[in-house]
Amino acid sequence: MTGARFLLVLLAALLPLVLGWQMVCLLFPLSGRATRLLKCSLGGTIGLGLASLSFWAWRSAGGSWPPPFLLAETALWILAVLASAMVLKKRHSQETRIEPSRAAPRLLVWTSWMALLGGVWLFVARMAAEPHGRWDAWAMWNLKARFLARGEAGWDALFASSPGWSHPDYPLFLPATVARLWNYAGGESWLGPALTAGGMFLLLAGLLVGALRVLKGPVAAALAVPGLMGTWGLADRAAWQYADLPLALFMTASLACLALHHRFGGRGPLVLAGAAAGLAAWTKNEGLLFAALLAFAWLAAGWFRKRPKETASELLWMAAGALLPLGAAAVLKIGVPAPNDLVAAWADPAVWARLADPARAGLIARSFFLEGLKLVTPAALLAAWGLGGLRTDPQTARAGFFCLGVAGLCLAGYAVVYLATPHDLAWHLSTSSSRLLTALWPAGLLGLVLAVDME
Amino acid sequence: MQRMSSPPASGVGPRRVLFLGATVLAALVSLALQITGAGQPPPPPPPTDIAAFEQRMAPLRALVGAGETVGYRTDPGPRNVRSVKEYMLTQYCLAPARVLEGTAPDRVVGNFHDLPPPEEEIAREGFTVEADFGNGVFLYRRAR
Repeated sequence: MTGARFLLVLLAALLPLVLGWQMVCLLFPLSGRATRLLKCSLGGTIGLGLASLSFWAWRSAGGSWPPPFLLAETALWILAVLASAMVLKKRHSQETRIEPSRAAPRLLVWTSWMALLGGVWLFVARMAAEPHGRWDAWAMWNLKARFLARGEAGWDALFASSPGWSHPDYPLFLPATVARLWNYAGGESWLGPALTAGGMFLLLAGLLVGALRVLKGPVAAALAVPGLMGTWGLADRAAWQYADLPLALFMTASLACLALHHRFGGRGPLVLAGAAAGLAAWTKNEGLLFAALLAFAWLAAGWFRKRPKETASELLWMAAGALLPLGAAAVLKIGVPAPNDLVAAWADPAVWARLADPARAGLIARSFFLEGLKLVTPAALLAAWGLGGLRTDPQTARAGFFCLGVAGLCLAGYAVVYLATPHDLAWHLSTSSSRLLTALWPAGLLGLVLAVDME
Repeated sequence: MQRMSSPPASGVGPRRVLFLGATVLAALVSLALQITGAGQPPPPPPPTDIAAFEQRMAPLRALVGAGETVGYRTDPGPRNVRSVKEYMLTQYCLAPARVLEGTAPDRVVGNFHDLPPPEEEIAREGFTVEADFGNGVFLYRRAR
């Protein structure tokens, strides 16, 4: 790669991050050292999602080869960054400053750094062993990225190219992100998907730690690092270059923003939560399920607390944030006649017999239990740690239980999908349940740490 | 500008130190087990074959147009993980062309390891060799 190309790739990565960071600052006016990691990671998450959408929109509009795209997109990003910087300058006086509190015990901080380095080392080692990722990476996600990067106007042939079981209908966050990087780089190096995966992995860690630092303090934030990095298979999933890790990132971001709303109020976090939930839907079909269940859970919680008007208004703000990514996912689903094996299964009359089969339910429960055991080693201890009493402040605890509730609902939703699956259930579970649970785990960890008493 | 304090770090009392230590230890042990590979399933076959396969297919890419649909045939025999993988890798290499298993399209990619390929059978199906890349990769065209 030439020096100029390297600069272009740097630009491709940095501009969305800067814009995302500024959007977060605009929508969620917190300042102070304790908020920096949260703003950076949340901004990066939202920014990368926007970049993916802009690339897909360009392709969908019949946009041609890289040079016009690079010029138009770079100009657009720079304008957006400048405009938001001007607004931010005016808004500075309205910011709420979060003062740093006393640091976490030094031993715990060092342990967290060790865990972070260990997780990164594990990711790099796995990536070096399989630079093209695992099967689904090249057969599904990066294949779609190649269609997007190489295909010019005919890129949508990708929806017909894959065999049915490789989910040709899946949304395009990951392929569009990788294809965009490839276009900036002027080639299709394995580094594109590898750097995307690594970036998502770090953003996830940063987001979890940053959110907990603001919401719960430095002990909880430091504790979350080994909790996340110790998660069985998380670094592997990242190195495999599958969409499960971006999904985990967006789900966690959405729930973290809602927790921030619980704590600090305001509409901004709601908009950001909606945007992240919409981006989850723009990443995988599981994200669509998550977005729907999140809205349902928010409504149910509002109804339970007897504040229906406020809840409806909050849901509207979330919908405003989700408009772009959800709209893109909807355009894709409606406009592209790609079949989905799992959705088509519901048209089969035999699905009701499968749903009512206790043996299938038992198999699913067993799989979830065994896969869950790999995740809960740190979680069980965390829960035990909190058994002394939930004396955390009620708003934060409520946010934690909300995260756990949404994660539980998603798990129930997955169980129903497995019950209805037309595939051999044992095969389906063995090839996907561990990934799904791992993707859900960071959101669960966020909820767990928020809910338990740390004092 | 409003000022708020982030939740304090204090209060890790002795009652909780044990749980804190155990939690962190459990997470670190989990991480260490993954790094050392303990309890992992056996690693998959060496993955470098993707790069090699791409190199093998590279000359073919120049002859297959974007958006074109080509067929695909390989060594006779039952489908196995390797044959499915190579079919899907062919699709990966030739995107944005579409690769369909079988010989329905007018141009067909041949990917053979047990040279020579079944030439008689291919000719019987009405195909002639359009390009032979000398490494078991062929492009066939339906004879008019």
